[in-house]
Amino acid sequence: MVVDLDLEESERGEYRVVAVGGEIDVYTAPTLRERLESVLESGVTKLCIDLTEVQFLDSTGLGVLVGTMRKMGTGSALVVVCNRPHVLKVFEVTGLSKVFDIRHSIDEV
Amino acid sequence: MSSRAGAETVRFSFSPRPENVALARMVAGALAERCGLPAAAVEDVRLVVSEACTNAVRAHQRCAREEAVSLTCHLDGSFLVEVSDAGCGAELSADSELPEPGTAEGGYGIPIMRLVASEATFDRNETGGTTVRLVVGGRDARREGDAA
Repeated sequence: MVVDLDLEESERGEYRVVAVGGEIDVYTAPTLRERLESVLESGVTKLCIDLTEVQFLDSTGLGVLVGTMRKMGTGSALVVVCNRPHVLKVFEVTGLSKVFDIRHSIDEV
Repeated sequence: MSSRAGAETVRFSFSPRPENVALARMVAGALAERCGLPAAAVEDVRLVVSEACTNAVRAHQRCAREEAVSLTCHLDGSFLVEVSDAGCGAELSADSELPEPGTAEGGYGIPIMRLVASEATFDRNETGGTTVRLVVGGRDARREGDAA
């Protein structure tokens, strides 16, 4: 069984949106990390990571998101979209729901 | 394979490769469903099993050991799983706490297991690797599920 991530980029207002689909774990997290790094290297300063279609997220996925936030300097903006209760729970139990700007729908971006 | 009819133990093992963590998570989730846990607790099982198996795979990678990672699941209303590896885990500490939120890219796995499972213990086993014992659900979880 091979689990792949779906990654799609689009623009929404001033934001570059990276929509992720699938399960983010130790196997797929490097794919997400590489994509987000290349987006930042292209000069994007307003980034929206849309996790609406993510069925599973664990600590390795969190690590990628924290790494992305740290790479984005002051004056840049990172928004995370997420509405699945069990994915939100991972942010909540780790205290990261207070650190990330989390919206429940892409319409709120 | 009877469903929800009494206690049952299921054992399986996998090669310590990252792509197999999803497989372990899927099997554990299916077993948790079968023992009657509500949907939210099934997701908790998938999460904590993923964290334990991720640590096991990394512990094997750290010292290039190829032995299988084994899972023993006891289904008896609640879900108890033991994840055993033969790898080189980090020093086990009794008090690994969450990193200051937003400051670290790693270090969330063990705190997540402790916060999401109703019991989480970490012990050195006879191979020199680690055995993680996790319990999810039980009477309280089932009551919540019945009320929902």
